[in-house]
Amino acid sequence: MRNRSVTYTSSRTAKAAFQALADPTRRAVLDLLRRGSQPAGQIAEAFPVSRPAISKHLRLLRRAHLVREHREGRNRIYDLNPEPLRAVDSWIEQYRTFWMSSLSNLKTFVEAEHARETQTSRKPK
Amino acid sequence: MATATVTPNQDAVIAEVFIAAPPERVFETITDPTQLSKWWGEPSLYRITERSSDVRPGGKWFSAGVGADGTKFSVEGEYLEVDPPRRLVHTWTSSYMPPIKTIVYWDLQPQPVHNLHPSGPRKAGTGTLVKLRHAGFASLPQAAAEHGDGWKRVMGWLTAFLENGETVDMRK
Repeated sequence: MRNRSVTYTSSRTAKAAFQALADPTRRAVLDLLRRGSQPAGQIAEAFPVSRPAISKHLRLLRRAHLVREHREGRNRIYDLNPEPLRAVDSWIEQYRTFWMSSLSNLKTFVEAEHARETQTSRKPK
Repeated sequence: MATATVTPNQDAVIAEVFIAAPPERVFETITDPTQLSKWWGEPSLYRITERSSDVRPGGKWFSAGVGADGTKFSVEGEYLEVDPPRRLVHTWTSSYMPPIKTIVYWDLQPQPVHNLHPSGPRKAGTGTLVKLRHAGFASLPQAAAEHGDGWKRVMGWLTAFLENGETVDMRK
């Protein structure tokens, strides 16, 4: 499969990633793989679902490019491909920076206004 | 200045800032439409063109803007709790994300202020510790999968990211 050409349409690729992430078991598999690569058998043991069900989940994750598979002898080893996850994570990261700058602006604006307002109302001694 | 972090479960942003002004003054600034556009977001990145607020439980708020690249967007929501000057809670739904309702919780805590400037005039009074929590992001991947067709801009952006990842992969 090394030389296959990637001919996905843009929206199909992105949709595959989101659909892959929509399932809680698949998200848990990704969390497991964050700690390091794992053979398929060990991944299956970590979940109370059947081996075929895990295989199906891994296939979906592979197609969405969220995990990569390679063989070591008879074992299929899976590891995480972090790039697509960074794209989805960054929704909340966007909002983290949004609030950081908004609250900093809020501070600057309110303090300036308040200083102006209290100065105007202060009676001269 | 302000600090902001993401919770470990990736569901919420927690942000905080201390403001040397009383809670009443801060509460006004976060609810009055004319003042909101003075601090909300990043002015260099986009411009707010419209803002309205009906500040009462069940009241709606609406904001529209234009990005630096000319893209129009809107954000809106409903007030759930209005308790001046201490607490404000409202929903948040934006045109550029899946149609989930995230919730913003504002808590304004009075803090005494003494002598802000050691060499300047003595200032005493009440400041505000602003604590903000914006929650509800964990359901985003699921909502995105269900509403995959609606927002081309998001998909285009995500795709470019995914395609960059594929390129790196293919180079190995």
